Amino acid sequence: MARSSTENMITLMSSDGEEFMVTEKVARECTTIRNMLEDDCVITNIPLPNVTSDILSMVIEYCMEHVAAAEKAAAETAEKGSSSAPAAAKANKDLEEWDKAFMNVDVYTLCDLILAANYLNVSGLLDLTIQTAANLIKGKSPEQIRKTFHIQNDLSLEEEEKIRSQTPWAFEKSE
Amino acid sequence: MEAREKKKGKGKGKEREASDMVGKWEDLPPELFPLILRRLPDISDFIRSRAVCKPWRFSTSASDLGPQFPCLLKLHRRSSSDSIFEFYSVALDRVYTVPAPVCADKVLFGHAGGYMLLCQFQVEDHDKPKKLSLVNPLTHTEVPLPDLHCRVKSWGHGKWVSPSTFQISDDFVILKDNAKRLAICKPGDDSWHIFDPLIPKQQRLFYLKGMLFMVDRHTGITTVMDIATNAKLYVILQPKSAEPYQRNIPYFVESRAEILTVFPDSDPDSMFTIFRLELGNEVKNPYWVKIRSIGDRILFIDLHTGRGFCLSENDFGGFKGVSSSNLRDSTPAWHNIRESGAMYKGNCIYFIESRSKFHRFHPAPPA
Repeated sequence: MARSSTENMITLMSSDGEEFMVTEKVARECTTIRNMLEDDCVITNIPLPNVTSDILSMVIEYCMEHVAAAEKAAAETAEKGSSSAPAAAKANKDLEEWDKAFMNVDVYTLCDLILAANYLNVSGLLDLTIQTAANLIKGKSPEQIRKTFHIQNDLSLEEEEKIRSQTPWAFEKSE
Repeated sequence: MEAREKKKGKGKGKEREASDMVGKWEDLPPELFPLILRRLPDISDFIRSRAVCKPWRFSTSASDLGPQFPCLLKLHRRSSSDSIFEFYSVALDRVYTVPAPVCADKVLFGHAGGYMLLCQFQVEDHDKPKKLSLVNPLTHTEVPLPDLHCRVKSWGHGKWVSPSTFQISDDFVILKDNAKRLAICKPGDDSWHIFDPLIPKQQRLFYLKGMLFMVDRHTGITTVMDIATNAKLYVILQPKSAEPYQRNIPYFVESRAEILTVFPDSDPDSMFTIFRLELGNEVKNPYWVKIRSIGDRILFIDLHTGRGFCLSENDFGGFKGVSSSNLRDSTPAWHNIRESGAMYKGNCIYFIESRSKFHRFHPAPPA
């Protein structure tokens, strides 16, 4: 579909002062920004003091990809009158693959992305990052989880022992 | 903020200063930890993550545990001093060994809603009142029930009639003896109410939504009673287009405020049909409606008791069902599974029987 040249552009400014020009449609993927736009429709410049440029560029990349995928699906439906199930399934799978590749980041970036997705209220991205974090936890001992996420153990020996003694079976070595 | 060196390539990773390494994941807003923990399908992952650090522990609670796939009670081993439960997780193909000292010297009458109904083991002394309690084997919480005073031998092997979704605050505890007499109480009551609803042998009992469903296996006719008043509420005819009920069926499932019945067609290896109970109104008698699709629901059915429950596929992101080869491979270990279960996924239904038999049913094609 040809993009209308009159589409509104919004400037998002990261915490470190970098500016990102995006279409209104992409910006609206962030519910927080959508609400701002709905409250004040002439706003064109939005400062985001909680998001660094690195992370903001990733969030925008995610939103653009998902907007493009939705537009493509809508265009196909309009063309054929109805969406063909195999094509839709393939498009879904492609997007899933893209998401998977997008999640190939270190745990710090992952943490920043969760914070940004939460702050900007991008439900798809929050869902994806939360699931990625959960996948990193699966099958690990508390010590391995600390190592993976670089977390300091602030539980006392007694506290830890108490937790273990309540449910020793959960701490058996996973097969 | 410290200066951060950008990585090459994707440019998304960051190298951190040592001081920057600490306190990042711990500083996640507390409302976000439960979101992560709810995505852990294995209960032991959930427990282990809550043992990582204080923020992860104290911003979450045991109730953040997401929906669980049912575990089969594989073994209840009792010695003079100790009691052990083994649970087999079908979804994860692993066995949890759970010591339950509070369950020692007790006989299992049934399980539902995370509780086990246990009765103090007594050596052939039927005059003594029976001490019963509900025990959560994971937390060792014990909820005492009133003593059951009766001299009849048949109560020695009571069965707990309960929905799988048993709620300790709302539901009655219904105990059935060999002669299908019922003993009913609520936790906190002084005594059991015992009555004989005169249930013929070929009938199965289900307790759902405060109602007792008595299903005749031969005729398919269901009689519904209000458990609180003992009043007969409805008589429901067998679903139209259903074939006569066979042995061990139907299966009853409470699912998203609906009551479903599932049963195989005449060729039990290929088809099954699901009906939904339409309670109707004051004028119209309740009736069964055939449903073509259960959408994103996953149904679990216990072949021993015929009862089942329902979970949502959405609750198990990425779950692709249990492959039949997995189950077959693990069958040797299954000979002592006490209870059974089954699951429905997508376009097929899986039944697991206590004797290592594994069935897969395809749904009936749309009429």
